[in-house]
Amino acid sequence: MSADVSDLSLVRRVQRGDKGAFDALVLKYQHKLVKLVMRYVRNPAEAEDIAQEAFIKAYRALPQFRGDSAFYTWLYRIAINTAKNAVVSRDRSPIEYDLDRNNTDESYDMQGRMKDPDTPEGLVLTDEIRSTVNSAIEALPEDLRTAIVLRELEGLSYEEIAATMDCPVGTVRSRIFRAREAIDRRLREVFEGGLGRVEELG
Amino acid sequence: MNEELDSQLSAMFDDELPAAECELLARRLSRDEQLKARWGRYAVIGATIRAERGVRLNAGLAGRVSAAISSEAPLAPSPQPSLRRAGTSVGGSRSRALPPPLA
Repeated sequence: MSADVSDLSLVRRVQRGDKGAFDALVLKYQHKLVKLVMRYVRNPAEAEDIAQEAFIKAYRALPQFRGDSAFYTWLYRIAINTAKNAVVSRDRSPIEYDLDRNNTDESYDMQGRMKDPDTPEGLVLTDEIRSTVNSAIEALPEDLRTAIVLRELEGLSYEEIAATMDCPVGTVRSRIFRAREAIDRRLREVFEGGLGRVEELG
Repeated sequence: MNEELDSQLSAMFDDELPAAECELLARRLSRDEQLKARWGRYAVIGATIRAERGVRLNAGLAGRVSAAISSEAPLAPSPQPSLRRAGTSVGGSRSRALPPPLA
């Protein structure tokens, strides 16, 4: 399978003016991008702000993306540059931060310093999601669990998983799909369970 | 939800779907909010399995980006190489596209 075909099909749609396709790219890479940015900043809320800025920069720069490198490689470079710039910008204004200390909360939000991402509500739901997914994985038949873990944790291709599990590639595709469906059934209950705390786009 | 469609979505998420099917599904994915939500949950499942600590799974980041992008003008269509051609170039010797210089 050609690398990055899935992303490129979405990228081409965005380049033709389809903003909805960009949503799918953000949904796919948001967690990885925040994780990447957290190598530069410790505050999760600040990392999310930087990731958000990186996604918007990427959107604006997409007309120049030709597909010669993988989309995620290109996106990660934008995120790293954005994170480095944010760190430099922050480090240059420590006095301003202190002087602003008695000002409104808004001034802190502007610099992403006073946001508390770990509100009890946010933590509870993230924990709830993790707990739901982990218990659903535990409940999977072994062949499904092995297939999804090899894919998501080890990053193996379907062909590599087929070789590891000694089964056809089609079987791997089916096992991963069935694993996701089983986990998703449980996860949907959390996302759609009337908790009213999860935004539609995650 | 159609099981074959969901199976394709799962394969597309893993970049294991043939290019022609990807193009068709990308079109549907960009317009179908239910399918998009499922795609988003697949990403949450992956993030959980990888135990990405410190990353909030319900941060609303995608929603905020989508809202910001909605106020932007759609990108101007420009001629692009086909997926097949772009796919064969991966790992090739052509110069790589770099992100634009950032201030």
